[in-house]
Order: sequence, then C-alpha cells, then structure tokens
Amino acid sequence: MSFDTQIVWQNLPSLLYGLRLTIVIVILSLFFAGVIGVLICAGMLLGSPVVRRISADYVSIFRALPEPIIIFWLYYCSPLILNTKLTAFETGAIALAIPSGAYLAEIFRAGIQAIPRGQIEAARALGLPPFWLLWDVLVPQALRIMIPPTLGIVTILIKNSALVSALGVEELFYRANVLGGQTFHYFEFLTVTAIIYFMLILPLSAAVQFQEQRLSARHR
Amino acid sequence: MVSDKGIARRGTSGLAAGAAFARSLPIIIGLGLVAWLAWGVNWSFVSNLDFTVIYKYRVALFEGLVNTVWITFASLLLGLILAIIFALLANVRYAPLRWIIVFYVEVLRDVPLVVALFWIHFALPVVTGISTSVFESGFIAMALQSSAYLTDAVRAGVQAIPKGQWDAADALGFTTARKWLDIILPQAFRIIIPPLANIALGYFKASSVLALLSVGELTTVATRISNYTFKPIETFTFVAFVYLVLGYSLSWLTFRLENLFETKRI
Amino acid sequence: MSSRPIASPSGESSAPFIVCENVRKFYGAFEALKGVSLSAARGEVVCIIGPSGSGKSTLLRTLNGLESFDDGRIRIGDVDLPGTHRQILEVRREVGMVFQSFNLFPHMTVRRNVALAPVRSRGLSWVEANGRAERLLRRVGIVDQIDKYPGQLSGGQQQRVAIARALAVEPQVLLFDEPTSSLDPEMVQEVLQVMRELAHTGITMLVATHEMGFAREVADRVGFMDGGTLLHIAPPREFFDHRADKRLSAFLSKIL
Ligand SMILES: Nc1ncnc2c1ncn2[C@@H]1O[C@H](COP(=O)(O)OP(=O)(O)OP(=O)(O)O)[C@@H](O)[C@H]1O
Ligand SMILES: [Mg+2]
Repeated sequence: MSFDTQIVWQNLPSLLYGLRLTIVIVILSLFFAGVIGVLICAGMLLGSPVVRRISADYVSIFRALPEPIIIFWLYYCSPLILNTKLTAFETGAIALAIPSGAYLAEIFRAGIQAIPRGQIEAARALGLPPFWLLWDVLVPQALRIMIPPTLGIVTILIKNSALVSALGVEELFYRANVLGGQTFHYFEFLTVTAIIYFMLILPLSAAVQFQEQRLSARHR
Repeated sequence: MVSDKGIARRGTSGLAAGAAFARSLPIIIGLGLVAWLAWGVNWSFVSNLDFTVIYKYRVALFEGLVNTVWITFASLLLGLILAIIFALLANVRYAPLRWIIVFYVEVLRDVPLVVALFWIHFALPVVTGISTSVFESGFIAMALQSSAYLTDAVRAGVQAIPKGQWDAADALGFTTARKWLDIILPQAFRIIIPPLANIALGYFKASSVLALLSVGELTTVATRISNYTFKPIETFTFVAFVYLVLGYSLSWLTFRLENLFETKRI
Repeated sequence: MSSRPIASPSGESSAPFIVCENVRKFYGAFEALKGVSLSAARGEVVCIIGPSGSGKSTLLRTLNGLESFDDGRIRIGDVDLPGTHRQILEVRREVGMVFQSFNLFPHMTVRRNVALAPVRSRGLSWVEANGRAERLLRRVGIVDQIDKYPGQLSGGQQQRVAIARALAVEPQVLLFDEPTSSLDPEMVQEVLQVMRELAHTGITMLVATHEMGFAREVADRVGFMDGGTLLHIAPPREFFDHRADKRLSAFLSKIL
C-alpha cells in the first residue's frame, strides 16, 4: 500500500470547495442557532410559566435527540408537510441549528444566572441606566463565562456538519466519499479529510481547554 | 432572573410597561413563528397519517433497537478497558509514550465520528488487508472514539485522588500493581461515574450516526422502513420518541446510581 | 419626633433630607418592616444596630429603591418613592450605597470601577471621571492600587474602593450596609477610619453596623431595630447609657 499524493493534489480544489461549503453551512447554522438560543433563553428567564415550560422542554428534547434523526426527519418529512420545498442545503442548515440552539440557550441561561445578584444591585445603586447596566456590567461578565462552552458548541457543529452529506449536500465529507468512489483511493481522500477536520477543530478545542483550565485555576 | 422581580416589583409605570413588553416578547415572537409555520404547512398530510406501519414493522424496529443498545454497550466496554490502559500508561515516566497518548486522544476527539467510521471501513483495510463488516466498523469506531473521551475522564478521576492515598499505599509497602488495583482505581471509579454516565448517554445518541453506513441499528432500520413504505413522518417520529424515552430513562437511571454512590460514601 | 434639630453648615436648621413614615414591607406573607419611621437631616450620621434578620438591610435598601415597599411614605430630598423611572435614577445619584460584600465589578480596574458611574449617569468625560477617581482613591488611601483589579486587593482595600465608587457620583447620602462585617478583624479599622473622616465632611450617612465603638463615637443618633421595627432611637450617650428598652439592653449586654 502507498499513499498516492499525486491524486490528492489533482483533486485538492474539489475537496477545498467542499471545505468551503462546510464552513458556510457551519456559520449559517451557528447564526440560526444563536437566534434560537437567545429566544429560548429569554423564554426560560423572562417568560410566563407556560413559555418557561415550553422553552425548557425545547432544550431537553433537542439535547436528547440524535442529530441524524433530526436531519432525516426534516429531510424526509418536510416535503410532505410544507407547501414549499426546502433544498438539501437549507434542510441541513436548519437541522443542524435546531439542536445547537438548544445547547446555546442553556449556555446563555447559565452564563446570565452565574452573575452574582450583588453586581446588578451595585450597578443599580450607582444609578446606572439600564442600557449601561447591561453593557458595562452584565454583558462582559456573562460573555467571559459563555465563550468557552460556545466554542465547544462550534466544534460539535463542525463535526455534525459532516452528517448532512447524507442529504447530498456537497460539503467536505461528501466530496471525499465521491472522490474516493471515483478513483478507488478511499484511503488518501478519507485520511486527508480527517486531517482537515482535525486542523479545523484542534485550535478551537485547544482554546476551550485552555480557557477552562484558566477559569478553574482562578476559582481555586 | 435579572430584571424579572426587581423591575416588576418597583412598579414605576414606564419600566413596568417595558418589563411587561419584554416578558410578552417571547410569546409574540413564538405566536408569530407558529402562525408563519402553520401558514406554510400543507395540512392534508394529517389525513394520510397511518401509524399501523409501526406495528407492521415492530420486529425490525425492535431488532434495530437491540442493535443500538448492544453496539453502544459493547463499544463502551471496550472503550473503557482501552481508556484504563491508556490512563495507566499516561503515568509512565517515558515521555514519548505520554505524547503518543495525548496525540491519540486529541485526534480521536477532533475528528467527526462519521469520518472515523468511514475511515475505518474504507481506508483501514487498505493498510491492514482485513476488511470489516459494517457492524464491526461501527463497533470499532465507537470504541476507539469513546476510549479517547474515557481516557480523559479516567485520568481526571485518578488525579482527583488525594496525594495522601498514594503516600499511604507506598508507606504500606504495596506493589505498583496492588496500589493501582486496590487503592487508586476503585476510588477513581467512583469519581468518574458521573462523567462515565454522560459519555454513555452521548454514545447511545451518537450510535445513530452509524446509519450513514447502514450499520443496522435503529436509525438504519427507520430509514429503510421509511424508504420502503413512504411513511417517513410516522416512522421517524416514532423512532425519535423511542430515542427520547430511552435517553430520559437512562439519564434517570444514572441519576439514581449517582445518588446511591453518594449515600454509600458517607 | 426624637430627632434634635441639626445645624446645617450655614447655620440654619433644615428640613430632614430623608423622611420615612410608617414604612411597611412584605416578603410574601412575612412582614420584614412593620411600620418604620425615621428621618435624617443633611449632614447627620445615623447608626442602626440590631440582631440579624431585624430588617436593617431591608430598610436601607428601600431608601434607594433597591426594594419596593408596601405601605407608608418615603421621601428623599423632594422625590417621593416610588417615583418614575427617571426619578429613581435621580434618587440613586443622591443616595449612594456601600455593601457588606463590596460588589465591585471584577472585570474592571479599580480606576474604572470608580469612574464608571460618573460617566454613565452624570455625563462626565472619561478624562474628568478618571481624575475624580484618582482624587477619591487618594482620599481613601489606595491610589497606588488604581490600575489593579478588585480580585488583587485585600477585603479592606476593596471596601475602600467601594466607598470611593459610591462617592464618585457626589451623593448627598451614603448608605452603609454592615460595611465591615465580612472583613478580617485587622482590616476593620482602616475602613472605619475612612468612614470617620467622611462623617466630618457634612455628608449624610446611614450605617447599619455591629461596631458599637464606632456608633458611640461618630453617630449623631443611634437606632435599634428588632423584628422589623425601629424600637428606639437616641443620641449615642443616651442610647448606650440609659438603655431605654428591655430588648435593647438584652441585645447590648450580649454584644458588649
Ligand atoms: N428577598 C427576600 N425574600 C424573603 N425574605 C427576605 C428577603 N430579604 C430579607 N428577607 C427577610 O427579611 C428579614 C429582614 O432581613 P434583613 O436582611 O433586612 O435583616 P438584617 O437586619 O439586615 O440582618 P443581617 O444582620 O443578617 O444582615 C429577615 O428575616 C429575612 O429573612
Ligand atoms: Mg443585612
């Protein structure tokens, strides 16, 4: 057995085109997930009892459902249910955003609730207007808490984005399989693809681990 | 939490109105979303619902579920054994060995499960000359990847044991093997039960990814039934429900288990 | 009214700056304040003592609108609480507060902690506010720590920063809620010293405290709270020597 670098070089543009689509779908679904996360988090914190209940259920249900089930459910069922037909790309982006939104909502909620009450009271006692209370006191402290777990969600999102290849979205993993099938050089293309995913995720997961160590060191 | 009580209680008119608006905002948005979705729905699908397919294919579904549970359990068991070995090796003085383990853990954590799965099924045989069945490939992929996460958990558990325990074991003249088997690992095991349960739950969920290689677990079966009967709504909704119920039961069970261990410790 | 008229700096006696009458406050069914009446003139220092749970914090927190109240009247300057949103912000600029647990903003330097409110609620520029922060921090004796973060300071230093922060909006009144209760004993004096100096500047101070020595020495009047009522209030000499109330003398003999 030998690693055929020649064939990888020849088809690298095609792989990288897939990588571009991977990044696009990750960013798009991350944006949707952020919107869902903010809404659900607001529902959990500020909503009436019914809204709170629904928001909490959303979080616990979509954290427990396997991602492939959500992806397949949307892909196979949406044509029967919706008047409009979603493309595979749209289906994939929405399906990835739904569970990520649940995770983000939980991260946002925990981040906001982790700020001691005394911080808000001190700001109010100083007469800070509500906007500046949010901007100067709450947001910076909450962000600091929320950034590491949010990066963790991004790594999960990148990994799960490979699943939408099953719908025919021509992202990185899909391209690797197609090229492997066409050339019978599965070994080369799958290895290179694995390395690309590794290089995408490693900096993020290293940052998460670094941040978590720093945070836990400070708590000691 | 932030504004809820304080602002509402203060009863100043402007803020109260603002708070009331902020509180009803999710409802307004939610209702808007529901209305928009309802408008885009072709409601005739309801009259075509036919849940008898579930009953018709109950045996296949049950077999799929058994495969899911079996592959999760078996691969985690292998993963845990590997993880304990790696965690022990990570304590060896020989640095290159430690680096290899760190590298192994990081690579497996940072590559998507489905990529590892396809690599093992399609690429690894090129190296080894041995092809594996899809079920075997799924099993190996889950075992290897879970071993990476479990290595971290076991290592953290070992590190959480107070230094006094190690000193005591040394002072009592234990051999290295006895020290690990009698003193360190039993205590570490208690500490890692919660993360272990979390990882187990995660892989019960993640086994669904194996459907991309048609490994034959629950999600594979669901896809097959849905393709054959053209009843995706019934099939996938039911299977989603099964995953939910089993996932919740599992987390309830681990919760009970943790409590049991908690009370025993006192 | 047990208060003696207090001479304002210009020599004429003025109307009390803080007036509460019959203030009642419920937490659910629990009555935390059972009709408290208290007034303080400009420049007056009032210390409030009393056992834990007697309602000292609750009383102070109603005075700057951190807590609502359910009955009675509270008037700060010429604003009746609860006022409009705008009025509450105005009251909070006139009434600063120092907390038991400091509540400094951990993500800002000491300088920024002090300069923040003047910029955000008084419209000063950062340059002006930083200058003011420096002056105030010099006054409380920690100008050398100005670029550190609160987490790097001792408890006593943090509480002095908190006092400077409260002073930065130039309030008429400072409320102190047990400012030395979470300090190590050796740091209590440095904070009390700052408060002692403040008391002579003509600022109105309401201090919930367990420091009897401080109350006796600095206060114009001392009040005793128990079970949500202000049982007794008098100038320190009369308060400590005559012990007009049975519960008060029980409390004092336990503490002294
Ligand atoms: N948010 C709240 N909800 C319910 N009860 C409260 C709340 N805050 C205070 N209380 C109750 O009101 C009573 C008065 O509390 P407060 O904090 O004013 O007492 P305190 O005199 O300041 O005591 P301490 O010396 O412990 O600070 C206590 O019995 C307390 O349990
Ligand atoms: Mg108190």
